[in-house]
Amino acid sequence: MTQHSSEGLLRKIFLLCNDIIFGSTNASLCKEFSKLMQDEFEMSMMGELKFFLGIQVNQFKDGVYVHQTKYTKELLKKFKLEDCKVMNTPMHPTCILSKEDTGTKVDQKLYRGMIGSLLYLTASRPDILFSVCLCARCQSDPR
Amino acid sequence: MVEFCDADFAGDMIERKSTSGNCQFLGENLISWASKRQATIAMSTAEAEYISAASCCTQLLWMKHQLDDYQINANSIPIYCDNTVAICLSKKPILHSRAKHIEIKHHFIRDYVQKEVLDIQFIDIEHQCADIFTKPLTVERFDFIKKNLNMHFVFD
Repeated sequence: MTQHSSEGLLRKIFLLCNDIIFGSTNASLCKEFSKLMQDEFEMSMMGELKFFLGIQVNQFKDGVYVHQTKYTKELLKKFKLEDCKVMNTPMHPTCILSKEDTGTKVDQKLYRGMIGSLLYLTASRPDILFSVCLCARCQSDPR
Repeated sequence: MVEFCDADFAGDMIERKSTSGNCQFLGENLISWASKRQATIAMSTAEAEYISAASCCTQLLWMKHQLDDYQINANSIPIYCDNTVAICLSKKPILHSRAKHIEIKHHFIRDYVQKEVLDIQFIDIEHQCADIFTKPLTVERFDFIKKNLNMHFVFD
């Protein structure tokens, strides 16, 4: 929902189930809206946006940073990869994924779970998008 | 608003389909990106790039409509493509023997280029940011593009 005021100011409101995030080009509009909502409904004001749908938002003077550090750490823990080696790129330039029958089968359920989790991570990581999509194509018979 | 689009010809080793990748910037901030294997098999690199440009054109038009709601009118939005043949194909409605088989839906971009809603321009491969969405890269190139995409390391 977007509202324009006569002075050319902008107010943007997002609603999702029980959460509301709102922002404006003018701080007074934000305050006015939060007061209006708190008077009308029983709700608590969480303050500055920090965490929404697993996406973290850090607002600094030099800019706003959107990241999923917490989610990434949870993923590493979930798939027991905390002690894995750190690589510089997600995929080697000469890497070829083929659909041949060689190689041992891996657990399809686990593989699909990983792909699904990683796809959500691409919301803040454009650099892994290609590699995840490539791996996702092998979901029918992962080896 | 700026858009980069790229394609990797026959990037898929099994079906020999090409991969299209694109990213859109608003100012210097990356706001949207995509990597997708194309539905049809391209016969040349130019065709792959042309299909990629046409498919990402839809995303750009949607974003243009969104901006219109904020009373921001973006006209002749630059699309950076690294293939001159694909650029020529989208500027002039000529059917060459090697391009006459391209499906009608991919010629969607032509209309918008002629109306000057979009402005398709050449960019050298070195500065093509959408490279990262089409193929695996070396460490140097990967880091270079990540920097261009305005991605930073966040200390939590």
